[in-house]
Amino acid sequence: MSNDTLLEIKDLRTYVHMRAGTVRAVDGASFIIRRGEALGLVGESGSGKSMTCMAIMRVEPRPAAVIEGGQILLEGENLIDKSLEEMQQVRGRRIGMILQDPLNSLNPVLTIGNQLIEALRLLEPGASKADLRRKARAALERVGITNAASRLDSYPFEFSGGMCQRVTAAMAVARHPTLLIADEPTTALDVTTQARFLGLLDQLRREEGMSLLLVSHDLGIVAETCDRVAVMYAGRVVETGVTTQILSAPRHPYTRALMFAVPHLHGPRTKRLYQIRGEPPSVRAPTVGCRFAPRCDQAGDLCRVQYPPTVHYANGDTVACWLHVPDAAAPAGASHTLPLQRVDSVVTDAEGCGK
Amino acid sequence: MNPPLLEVRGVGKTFVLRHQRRRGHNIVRAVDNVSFVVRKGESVGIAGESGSGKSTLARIILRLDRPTDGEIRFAGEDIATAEGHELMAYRRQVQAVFQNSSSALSPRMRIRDIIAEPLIVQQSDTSPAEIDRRVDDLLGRVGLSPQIRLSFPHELSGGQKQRVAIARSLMVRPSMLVLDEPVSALDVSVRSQVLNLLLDLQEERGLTYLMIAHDLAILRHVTTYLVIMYLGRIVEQGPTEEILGAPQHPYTRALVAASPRLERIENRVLAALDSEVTSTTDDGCAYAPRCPWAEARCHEEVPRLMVVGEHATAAHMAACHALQAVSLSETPPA
Amino acid sequence: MSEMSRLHTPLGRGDISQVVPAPEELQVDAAAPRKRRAVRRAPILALFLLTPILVFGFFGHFLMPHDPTMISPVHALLPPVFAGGTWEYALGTDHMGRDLLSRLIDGASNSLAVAFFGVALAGAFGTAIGLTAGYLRGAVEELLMRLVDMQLAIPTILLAVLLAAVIGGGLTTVIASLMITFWASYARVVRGETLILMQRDYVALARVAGASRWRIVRLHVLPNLLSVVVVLATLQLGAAVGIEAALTFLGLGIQPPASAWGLMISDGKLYMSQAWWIPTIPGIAIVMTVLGSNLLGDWLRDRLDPRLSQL
Repeated sequence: MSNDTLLEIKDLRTYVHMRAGTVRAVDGASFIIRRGEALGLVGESGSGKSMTCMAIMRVEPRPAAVIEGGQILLEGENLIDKSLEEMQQVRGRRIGMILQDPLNSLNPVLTIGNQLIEALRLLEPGASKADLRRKARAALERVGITNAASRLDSYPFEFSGGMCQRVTAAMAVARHPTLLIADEPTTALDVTTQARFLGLLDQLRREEGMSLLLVSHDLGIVAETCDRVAVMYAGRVVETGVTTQILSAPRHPYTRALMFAVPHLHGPRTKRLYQIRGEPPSVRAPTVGCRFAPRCDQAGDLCRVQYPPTVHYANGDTVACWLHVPDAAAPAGASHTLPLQRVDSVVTDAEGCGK
Repeated sequence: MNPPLLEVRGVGKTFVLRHQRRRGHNIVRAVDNVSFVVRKGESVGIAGESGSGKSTLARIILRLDRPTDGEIRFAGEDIATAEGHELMAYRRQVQAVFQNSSSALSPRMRIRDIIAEPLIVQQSDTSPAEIDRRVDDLLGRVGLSPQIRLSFPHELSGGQKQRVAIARSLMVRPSMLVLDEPVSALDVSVRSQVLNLLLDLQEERGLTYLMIAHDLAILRHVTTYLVIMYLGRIVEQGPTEEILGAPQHPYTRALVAASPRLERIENRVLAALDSEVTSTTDDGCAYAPRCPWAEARCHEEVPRLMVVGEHATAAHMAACHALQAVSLSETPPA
Repeated sequence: MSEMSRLHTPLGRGDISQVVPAPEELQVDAAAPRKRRAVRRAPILALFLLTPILVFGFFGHFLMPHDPTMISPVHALLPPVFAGGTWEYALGTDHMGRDLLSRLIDGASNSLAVAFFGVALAGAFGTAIGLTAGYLRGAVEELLMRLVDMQLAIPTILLAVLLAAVIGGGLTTVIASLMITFWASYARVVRGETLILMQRDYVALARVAGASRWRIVRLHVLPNLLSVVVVLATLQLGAAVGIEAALTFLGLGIQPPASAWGLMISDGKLYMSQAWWIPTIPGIAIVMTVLGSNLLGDWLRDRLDPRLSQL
């Protein structure tokens, strides 16, 4: 592990035991977060991205969810070996977290100020009330809330969703964590509010020099904010890469399919979107082979029987796909030009405008 | 140009809140003086954030609610006040697909009965064999196996449920579908399947779509004409490509700029962090409190929709005082 | 076509630093934890408590060792078998020499019949009221819900005494009291649930399809209310048995010489010091029924609520 690695997830497995059977929510996921970088974790529902975050914080929903294997190395310390008391020292202090629903993250019967003061008191147990209040006001101003002094005495319901989310961000960074995990932080927010909040996250990350793990189902959100992107599918990370690389030349067929499957706001208008066959897999069924193989246009026989090894590139990018494994028998049926089927045509702007 | 199918004229919906906390704020204008036309075979999109009134408008057009002002004409007939046979005739023409497919399918009914319901309700003399035949046809058309006929909704995945919802909406062969966020609850990899299906169906059956969504990229993909709403009022409307390519109203500009796109944005400018949707105002432009271009007049007088844009087609209109004087500078005034 | 070719990755190999083998495929025995949990969650205690009561209630007439009303002074106040008595009268006899086991069994069928009937009537009436209020809203809802509030303010026993004064004691009085006592809670719960269901998209879509009010109630609202009603009924069944016993104990319910648990307790209260078993045994039966139906109701609520059924 090189020195600039802050967090390393190695072969993490978190299974959820339910009445209907065992769900392999995370089933051998590996990726790293470097110091000071923003990593986007992208995946569809059921890909295991949220469960990965919960495992890092060791707040997986027990007793149903069990970490069955792997390592979570924060600056070399394995968080899985830590006791609950030891984890208290990690949560908030070294890893901060922002969740999807801002209203659920704040206590509705306490004022914003009191909640912030509580968070700050943990940092400085001896500080006076007036001192803490001053710091709370500064924390609110820092996340872009005007009239912070009067807003301290407001209750969460008097704030809009975007403002609540900024308060949770203020609380999450109050103790200067080295890693901030934001799990779908803008899903409940409007588009204009979302853009501002993403900007705030970016600003806080730079000011604090911390790393950011931004989880989202939307590749667009992650692309805007993150230096690198990790793509999860069915409990495993299928590709990681520098954002520009992922956007311009994605390696994994799933990542590529995702990019073609979404309509774009600018640029040429595709008449038909690329269509990924079938549905996201049920993580319940024990599978062999690549999880994406049943939906993949380039899958060959090898893909269906054996999960591909992960190819690491010199710049740290990774991809788990037989197409990129050197000297592997090329999957039958796969062509090197990788045509994307069913994209009928690409129409230009002019044609799209014609009315 | 095709003849108008749906005409919305000056439609408004006010809710009176009984428990007022402060005086004077007990009337909420969820939709205020909204007018637009949907032509036959066209796709019109309505965009806006939460509180824009777009879903209330959809409910009014579906006649789940009555408007408090204005009129709605469908194929020339007034439907805002229609009852009995007239309303039933309208229901044969207009069906809907909603966002949340779990809530859209009655949990204790079988798929066959869910899809068949509109037909059973409207033509109760249809024979069971005919119903089965048409259910199977539609299931096949939306890409589902007829074997799921006897399943219950909870046995299906999100994408399958939305296909069932689409099949049901087509059962009475309507001419128009109201699509309220039809794909926003679906996973990205399933979304494109449903969007393609909707576009194919439109082409095959000559359907007219009224699509409500918050995602501009999806609206761009499906619609040809776009209506942008903010706090119950239309702020801009026009051909989709023109609006998204050269947005005129300050709010539309903000919306387009804020929409995620597939590119890295370094050091995004954090202007006016605190300004968010506050409340409706009776006086002036609803966007004025957030608008960097706002002047005194914007707070006093409600702007009217005026023809705008470089190409200045009569169809592209925006409601903004500042736009009427001169075209806005690219950057807001300091 | 530039967009397309931009995405065609060259299969470059030069910059690959290492190839890490795939994580191994763990096989999980998916069935094992499921079985363990399922067994632990079954309502064993509830079934254990309720089974004898239900068997007595339904098949009692084939199980009774003696005629429950036959008076035999020779055999008065015999102790049960665990207190030194004989198997002839397994649970002993009362002051008139009637076999307590037979009376307990006979009383079970009376008590259960009254409770079932009372709860069923209350359920039907309360559901209808709640559904009407929740569906029609407005002034109708206001009126009906104020009635519910009034009803909930009147104590059951007081109501039964008033009722008995008007129509006399007996089976009808007990059933009527149960119905009047319980309908209000159904109405309240069903109204709340109806309000939630009316917000569902499928109700809106049924209206868009042109469905009539009656069809929406019958196909889209009522079936989805049933689980709530069943849970409430199960919880109330135990309470109904208790109320029936109390009314009978006060002489307002089932009249002698018929057997009923409340009657057995009231008969036995005078003999507490010599024959403690006479009031105690029917008392235990009542506790079993109330506890058993509460446990079963809790379990049903967990099972039928889809939000709780996942874990």
